[in-house]
Amino acid sequence: MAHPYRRRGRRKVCRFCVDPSLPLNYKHPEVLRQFLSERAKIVPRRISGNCSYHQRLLTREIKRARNVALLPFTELP
Amino acid sequence: MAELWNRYESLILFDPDLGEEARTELIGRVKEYITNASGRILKTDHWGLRELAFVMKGRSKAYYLLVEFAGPAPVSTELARRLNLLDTVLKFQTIKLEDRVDPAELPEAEEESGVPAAEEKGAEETPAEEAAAAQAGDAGEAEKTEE
Repeated sequence: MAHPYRRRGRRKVCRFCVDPSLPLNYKHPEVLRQFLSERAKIVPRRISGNCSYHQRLLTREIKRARNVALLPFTELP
Repeated sequence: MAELWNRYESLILFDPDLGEEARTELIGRVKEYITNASGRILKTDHWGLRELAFVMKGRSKAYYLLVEFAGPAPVSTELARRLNLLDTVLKFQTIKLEDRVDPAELPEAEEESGVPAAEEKGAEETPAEEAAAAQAGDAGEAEKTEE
Protein backbone atom coordinates (compact mmCIF):
# COMPACT_ATOMS: atom_id res chain seq x y z
CA MET A 1 0.00 0.00 0.00
CA ALA A 2 1.36 3.36 -0.94
CA HIS A 3 2.18 5.78 1.78
CA PRO A 4 -0.78 8.15 2.19
CA TYR A 5 1.45 11.22 2.03
CA ARG A 6 3.72 10.10 -0.73
CA ARG A 7 3.99 12.66 -3.47
CA ARG A 8 2.52 11.59 -6.75
CA GLY A 9 3.22 12.75 -10.24
CA ARG A 10 6.29 13.76 -12.12
CA ARG A 11 9.54 14.55 -10.40
CA LYS A 12 10.47 18.21 -10.83
CA VAL A 13 13.85 19.09 -12.24
CA CYS A 14 15.77 22.30 -12.35
CA ARG A 15 15.15 23.85 -15.77
CA PHE A 16 18.48 25.62 -15.76
CA CYS A 17 20.39 22.41 -15.09
CA VAL A 18 18.47 20.58 -17.80
CA ASP A 19 19.09 23.30 -20.37
CA PRO A 20 22.34 25.17 -19.71
CA SER A 21 21.67 27.36 -22.73
CA LEU A 22 18.61 28.86 -21.05
CA PRO A 23 19.76 32.40 -20.25
CA LEU A 24 19.67 33.26 -16.56
CA ASN A 25 20.24 36.97 -16.29
CA TYR A 26 18.23 40.11 -15.85
CA LYS A 27 18.48 40.97 -19.52
CA HIS A 28 16.08 38.17 -20.39
CA PRO A 29 12.94 39.06 -18.47
CA GLU A 30 10.85 36.69 -20.57
CA VAL A 31 12.70 33.74 -19.03
CA LEU A 32 12.54 35.11 -15.49
CA ARG A 33 8.86 35.87 -15.91
CA GLN A 34 8.13 32.13 -15.92
CA PHE A 35 9.30 31.96 -12.32
CA LEU A 36 6.96 34.64 -11.07
CA SER A 37 3.49 33.98 -9.74
CA GLU A 38 0.39 35.82 -10.92
CA ARG A 39 1.04 38.39 -8.27
CA ALA A 40 4.63 38.66 -9.50
CA LYS A 41 6.07 36.93 -6.47
CA ILE A 42 9.07 34.68 -6.92
CA VAL A 43 7.96 31.06 -7.14
CA PRO A 44 9.57 28.97 -4.39
CA ARG A 45 11.95 26.17 -5.17
CA ARG A 46 9.46 23.75 -3.69
CA ILE A 47 7.11 24.55 -6.56
CA SER A 48 9.46 25.32 -9.42
CA GLY A 49 11.82 22.43 -8.72
CA ASN A 50 14.93 24.53 -9.27
CA CYS A 51 18.15 23.48 -7.62
CA SER A 52 19.39 25.71 -4.82
CA TYR A 53 22.24 27.10 -6.88
CA HIS A 54 20.06 28.22 -9.75
CA GLN A 55 17.27 29.41 -7.47
CA ARG A 56 19.79 31.68 -5.80
CA LEU A 57 20.95 33.13 -9.08
CA LEU A 58 17.39 33.40 -10.29
CA THR A 59 16.35 35.40 -7.25
CA ARG A 60 19.24 37.76 -7.74
CA GLU A 61 18.49 38.27 -11.42
CA ILE A 62 14.76 38.79 -10.84
CA LYS A 63 15.57 41.49 -8.33
CA ARG A 64 17.94 43.13 -10.75
CA ALA A 65 15.32 43.05 -13.46
CA ARG A 66 12.81 44.63 -11.09
CA ASN A 67 15.15 47.51 -10.39
CA VAL A 68 15.18 48.49 -14.04
CA ALA A 69 11.46 47.89 -14.59
CA LEU A 70 11.92 44.86 -16.80
CA LEU A 71 9.80 42.91 -14.31
CA PRO A 72 7.11 44.11 -11.92
CA PHE A 73 7.49 44.15 -8.15
CA THR A 74 3.84 43.42 -7.82
CA GLU A 75 0.91 42.95 -10.09
CA LEU A 76 -2.80 42.31 -9.81
CA PRO A 77 -3.87 38.90 -11.04
CA MET B 1 52.38 45.77 -12.45
CA ALA B 2 49.95 48.26 -13.78
CA GLU B 3 46.69 49.03 -12.12
CA LEU B 4 43.98 46.46 -12.52
CA TRP B 5 40.57 47.41 -13.84
CA ASN B 6 37.04 46.23 -13.33
CA ARG B 7 34.56 45.45 -16.04
CA TYR B 8 31.06 46.84 -15.62
CA GLU B 9 27.76 46.91 -17.38
CA SER B 10 25.24 49.69 -17.00
CA LEU B 11 21.65 49.67 -18.08
CA ILE B 12 20.45 53.24 -18.31
CA LEU B 13 16.81 54.29 -18.69
CA PHE B 14 16.36 57.60 -20.44
CA ASP B 15 13.30 59.80 -20.53
CA PRO B 16 11.10 58.63 -23.42
CA ASP B 17 9.96 62.18 -24.22
CA LEU B 18 13.44 63.23 -25.22
CA GLY B 19 13.83 64.16 -28.85
CA GLU B 20 16.10 62.03 -30.98
CA GLU B 21 18.91 64.57 -31.28
CA ALA B 22 18.68 65.48 -27.59
CA ARG B 23 19.00 61.81 -26.78
CA THR B 24 22.00 61.19 -29.01
CA GLU B 25 23.66 64.23 -27.48
CA LEU B 26 22.90 62.93 -24.00
CA ILE B 27 24.19 59.46 -24.78
CA GLY B 28 27.38 61.00 -26.07
CA ARG B 29 27.69 62.91 -22.83
CA VAL B 30 27.18 59.77 -20.75
CA LYS B 31 29.91 58.04 -22.70
CA GLU B 32 32.22 60.95 -22.02
CA TYR B 33 31.62 60.52 -18.31
CA ILE B 34 33.12 57.07 -18.61
CA THR B 35 36.04 58.02 -20.79
CA ASN B 36 36.81 61.14 -18.75
CA ALA B 37 37.06 58.97 -15.66
CA SER B 38 39.75 57.04 -17.56
CA GLY B 39 37.39 54.22 -18.39
CA ARG B 40 36.94 52.56 -21.74
CA ILE B 41 33.70 51.65 -23.45
CA LEU B 42 33.60 48.09 -24.69
CA LYS B 43 30.12 47.79 -26.04
CA THR B 44 26.93 49.75 -26.39
CA ASP B 45 23.59 48.21 -27.09
CA HIS B 46 20.51 50.27 -27.85
CA TRP B 47 17.45 48.41 -26.71
CA GLY B 48 15.34 51.35 -27.71
CA LEU B 49 11.99 52.39 -26.40
CA ARG B 50 10.44 49.78 -24.15
CA GLU B 51 7.37 49.48 -22.03
CA LEU B 52 8.17 49.62 -18.32
CA ALA B 53 6.83 46.94 -16.00
CA PHE B 54 5.52 49.67 -13.73
CA VAL B 55 5.11 53.42 -13.85
CA MET B 56 8.31 55.16 -12.87
CA LYS B 57 8.52 58.91 -12.35
CA GLY B 58 5.26 59.26 -14.22
CA ARG B 59 6.55 57.43 -17.29
CA SER B 60 5.34 54.11 -18.58
CA LYS B 61 8.07 53.81 -21.20
CA ALA B 62 11.78 54.44 -21.32
CA TYR B 63 14.66 54.38 -23.76
CA TYR B 64 16.98 51.59 -22.66
CA LEU B 65 20.70 51.73 -23.28
CA LEU B 66 23.13 49.04 -22.21
CA VAL B 67 26.78 50.10 -21.94
CA GLU B 68 29.60 47.75 -21.16
CA PHE B 69 32.79 49.41 -20.03
CA ALA B 70 35.94 48.89 -18.05
CA GLY B 71 38.06 51.12 -15.96
CA PRO B 72 39.73 51.65 -12.63
CA ALA B 73 37.35 51.22 -9.70
CA PRO B 74 36.29 54.89 -9.27
CA VAL B 75 34.82 54.93 -12.78
CA SER B 76 31.54 53.38 -11.65
CA THR B 77 31.00 55.70 -8.72
CA GLU B 78 31.85 58.68 -10.88
CA LEU B 79 29.37 57.55 -13.52
CA ALA B 80 26.71 57.03 -10.85
CA ARG B 81 27.34 60.48 -9.43
CA ARG B 82 26.98 62.11 -12.83
CA LEU B 83 23.92 60.14 -13.82
CA ASN B 84 22.19 61.07 -10.58
CA LEU B 85 22.54 64.71 -11.54
CA LEU B 86 20.66 64.25 -14.80
CA ASP B 87 16.91 64.45 -14.54
CA THR B 88 16.54 62.97 -18.02
CA VAL B 89 17.79 59.65 -16.68
CA LEU B 90 14.91 57.82 -15.01
CA LYS B 91 17.05 55.13 -13.52
CA PHE B 92 20.21 53.16 -14.06
CA GLN B 93 21.83 50.03 -12.75
CA THR B 94 25.50 49.18 -12.89
CA ILE B 95 26.69 45.64 -12.43
CA LYS B 96 30.27 44.56 -11.99
CA LEU B 97 30.89 41.78 -14.47
CA GLU B 98 34.47 41.03 -13.62
CA ASP B 99 37.07 42.46 -11.32
CA ARG B 100 40.83 42.71 -11.45
CA VAL B 101 41.18 42.56 -15.19
CA ASP B 102 44.35 43.61 -16.90
CA PRO B 103 43.54 46.64 -19.07
CA ALA B 104 45.95 45.39 -21.70
CA GLU B 105 43.94 42.22 -22.19
CA LEU B 106 40.61 43.89 -22.77
CA PRO B 107 39.01 43.38 -26.16
CA GLU B 108 38.90 46.26 -28.58
CA ALA B 109 35.85 48.47 -28.44
CA GLU B 110 33.10 46.81 -30.32
CA GLU B 111 30.98 48.45 -32.95
CA GLU B 112 27.80 49.95 -31.80
CA SER B 113 24.98 47.49 -32.04
CA GLY B 114 21.31 48.10 -32.37
CA VAL B 115 19.92 50.92 -34.39
CA PRO B 116 20.24 54.13 -32.36
CA ALA B 117 16.60 55.06 -31.95
CA ALA B 118 15.43 53.91 -35.35
CA GLU B 119 13.43 51.04 -33.84
CA GLU B 120 10.73 52.93 -32.03
CA LYS B 121 8.10 50.47 -33.17
CA GLY B 122 9.61 47.52 -31.32
CA ALA B 123 8.23 48.51 -27.95
CA GLU B 124 7.58 44.90 -26.96
CA GLU B 125 10.07 42.11 -26.29
CA THR B 126 12.61 42.86 -29.01
CA PRO B 127 15.93 43.41 -27.26
CA ALA B 128 17.42 45.05 -30.34
CA GLU B 129 20.12 42.42 -30.59
CA GLU B 130 18.01 40.15 -32.75
CA ALA B 131 17.21 42.99 -35.09
CA ALA B 132 20.88 43.93 -35.21
CA ALA B 133 21.94 40.34 -35.82
CA ALA B 134 19.58 40.09 -38.73
CA GLN B 135 20.91 43.25 -40.32
CA ALA B 136 24.57 43.16 -39.47
CA GLY B 137 25.51 39.48 -39.77
CA ASP B 138 28.95 39.23 -38.20
CA ALA B 139 28.50 42.10 -35.77
CA GLY B 140 25.43 40.40 -34.35
CA GLU B 141 27.25 37.14 -33.80
CA ALA B 142 29.98 38.69 -31.67
CA GLU B 143 27.19 40.31 -29.72
CA LYS B 144 26.14 37.06 -28.07
CA THR B 145 29.37 36.70 -26.16
CA GLU B 146 28.10 38.24 -22.99
CA GLU B 147 27.99 36.72 -19.51
